[in-house]
Amino acid sequence: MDVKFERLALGFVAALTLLVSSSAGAAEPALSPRPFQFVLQNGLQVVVVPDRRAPVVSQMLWFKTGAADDPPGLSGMAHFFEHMMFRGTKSVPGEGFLHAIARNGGEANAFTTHDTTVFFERIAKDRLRLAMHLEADRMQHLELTDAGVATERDVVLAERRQRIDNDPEAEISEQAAAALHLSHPYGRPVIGWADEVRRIGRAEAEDYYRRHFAPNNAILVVVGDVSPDEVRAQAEAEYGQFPARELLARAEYAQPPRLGETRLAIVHRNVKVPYFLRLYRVPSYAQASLGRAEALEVLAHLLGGDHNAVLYRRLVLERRIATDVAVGYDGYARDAGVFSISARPRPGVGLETLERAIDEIVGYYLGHQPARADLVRAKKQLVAETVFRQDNPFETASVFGRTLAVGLTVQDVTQWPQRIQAMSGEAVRKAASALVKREAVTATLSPGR
Amino acid sequence: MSGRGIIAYIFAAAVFVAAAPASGVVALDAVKGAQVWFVENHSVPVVAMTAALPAGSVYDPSDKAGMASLAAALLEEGAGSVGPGAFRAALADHAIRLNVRPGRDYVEISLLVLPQDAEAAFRLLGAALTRPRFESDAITRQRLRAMQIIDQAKSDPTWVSWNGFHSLYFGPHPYGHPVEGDVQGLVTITREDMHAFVARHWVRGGMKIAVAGDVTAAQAKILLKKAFATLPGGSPTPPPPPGFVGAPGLHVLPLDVIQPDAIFALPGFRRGDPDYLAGTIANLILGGGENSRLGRELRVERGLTYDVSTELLTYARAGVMVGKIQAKPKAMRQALSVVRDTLRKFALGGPTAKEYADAKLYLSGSFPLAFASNEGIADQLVGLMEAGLPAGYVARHGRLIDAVSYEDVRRAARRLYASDRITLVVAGTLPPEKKSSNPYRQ
Repeated sequence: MDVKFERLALGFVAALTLLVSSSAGAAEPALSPRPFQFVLQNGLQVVVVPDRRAPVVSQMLWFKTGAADDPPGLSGMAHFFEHMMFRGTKSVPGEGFLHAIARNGGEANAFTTHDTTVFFERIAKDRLRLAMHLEADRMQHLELTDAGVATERDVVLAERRQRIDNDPEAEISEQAAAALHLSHPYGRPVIGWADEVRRIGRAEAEDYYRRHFAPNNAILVVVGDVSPDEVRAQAEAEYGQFPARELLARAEYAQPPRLGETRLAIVHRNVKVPYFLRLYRVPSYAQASLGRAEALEVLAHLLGGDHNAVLYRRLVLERRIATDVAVGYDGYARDAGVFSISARPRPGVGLETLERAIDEIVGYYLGHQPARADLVRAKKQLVAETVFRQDNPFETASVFGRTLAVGLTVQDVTQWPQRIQAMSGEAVRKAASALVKREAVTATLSPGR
Repeated sequence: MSGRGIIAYIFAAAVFVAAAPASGVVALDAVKGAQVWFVENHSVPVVAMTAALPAGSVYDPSDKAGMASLAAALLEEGAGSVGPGAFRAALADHAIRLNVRPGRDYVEISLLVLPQDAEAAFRLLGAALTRPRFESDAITRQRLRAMQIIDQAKSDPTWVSWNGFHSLYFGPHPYGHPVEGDVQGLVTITREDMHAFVARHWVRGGMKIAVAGDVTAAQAKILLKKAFATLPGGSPTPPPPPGFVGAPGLHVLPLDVIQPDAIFALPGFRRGDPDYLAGTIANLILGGGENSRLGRELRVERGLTYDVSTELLTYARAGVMVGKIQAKPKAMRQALSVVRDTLRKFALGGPTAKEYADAKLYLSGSFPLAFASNEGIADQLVGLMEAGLPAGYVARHGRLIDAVSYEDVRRAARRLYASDRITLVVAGTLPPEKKSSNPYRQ
């Protein structure tokens, strides 16, 4: 039901990639339906991936604007605006958008990250034109009202209470991210601070719309039972009728140097199980030299991608000091990426003991290559994940969108499996050198009043 | 098509003939006593399987709540001569995605795997099901994790309201306790209890299995035999349906949280009820859809909540109309009163002609969306089997929805929502009820 969600700063995001480029001539032939790419005259980038298995399509429209573009004092604007996009245009007023999609057997939703605002529909293939028409219409003709803005603000505040304020682990993630990024806007929560969300008014929202929503600031991804020519013709007719517009350039924020580790200890009345969280500011795909982000991906997977990973084995199975541990690398960002480790201690084990053990193991990989079996396994799993995602048209569309939205290319998607496959133990060791305390926030959650 | 043409198309009563999804569903005779459906598709190199075993929490012994869940969690803890570490390594070596989802009636197990690793995946799953080790170390590990999850969930208003509702609504019936069980139950479960439980419930009889993907029927049969053929036959007898159900009135389960969650519930339909499909249409209009009446009244018009929704819960032995909502403490009473008004109005007046037509278009048109991936196909098919439907249902769904009359939906809405014996469960804290409103407070 119309769930609007946002990425939290702590993303346990597995590798998201799926296709083996046919031009790369690799040994996995059947793995790759070919992505097609073109640009409309108004600057709208388009990616099409035919998938003929079912008579349905997934359309995603990725705007290259997100919470990092929230105006000063109005954190949460991008996410709030994502909500407003469902509140009607001149020709499709009120709840007409969702209504039209639903009565045509489709589903629609949206989400916001620090760098992107994304709208999507899943619908029968002969209704793709309708979905495009509705998206193009609200890209250009949204009509805001004071009453609509005021009501939606309350909705977003209720969403914030539900997702963050009622969940201590979400709260500590938000606090740790704020500490990690210093003054960079990645430290502001996507959903916004409640006091700033309350200040968003219609005029500010309209400004935001004018500055960021235009065809030349968007990427259209269509995956499903359609040909690239069909998509091109329909996209030209619907999105192509609106001219490119001059946009407000994204403010370039410094990523101030971190001179030391930040430690954060939260004692919370609703915490029953202690929790350890470590975030490192690391290079993203957009920042890293070729292969370095992929190496962080491999490192995260082999350290904590599943219940066979190094940290799980050592801490849960062997030393029996944790009940659960997870590691993630969130590298799809225009600025810094985040490498995260989280764990829960076994009853009776102190968080300090757990932290010491984690540091010992992570520290080992700064100086040593991973064991060959672990490396081979992690690579095999990551490459298999790309095939599993290929099974799902929506995930396929997501991978292309998130990759292109941060300034990478279709080739970065299609060549990803080979880059993973080629990864050496030495490259993983080098990537591990990003995991230094100077770049880290260590946060703990403990029971209390 | 011109832009204007499209607008007309949006608002015209679209005639929508959805293509039948996954049209090649065939029943396989692969595992004696189990129901098996299969869809062959070679375009993406994956094999997906979902299996439902009659091993849900409804079968938990009364003093050992959590048994079904704990047994399911032990599936990754080794089999036969292969210990917990080596078993996990084997899953990882073959990039096998094994997912276990305990529920009230069934535990669902799914595999997603590359074709070249399918043999290993089904063999490992078969070993885990037929030769579980249940080492005390592994039981302790999974038990501690389960107890932590329950412990932490006790301050999560979503979990507390959902499980509080089950407890109040079903009382002592085994549908009444959390799927995860409770700490008192978990601590008493022994290795012998586990073996006794799986001997009765990890069985071929009553099992539902679907396979979809890059595999032939002949190969699928071999794989399935590998995993399931040596399981015991027979099937467990489910407990009788709950007798008196429901706990009309408002129940507040105190929690110190910023925003309470609430559940509202009335008796619903069992899956075999002749009004079931009409009920799903009524539910969609009231609270199940993207732009339902409840969503409009509470979210769009009043901004009282981020999320309000209803569903028709269909357990094997009970049907419940259940809704969920969150609202800040000061707004919760108002929100619940709008909920009740909206239900009452819908029960009395039924849907508008347009709501009725649109809901049918959505339900028949959106059905194929869930069949766009092999993983989705396997999950959907097992869901249909759990509901007791035949393989041909997939092709007939659209026509069956189409055949539901306006009067059917009206009757279903009356049957579902007219009662004033609503069970309301709030997890959180509400301010005291005021007789007169204070103009200085919001």
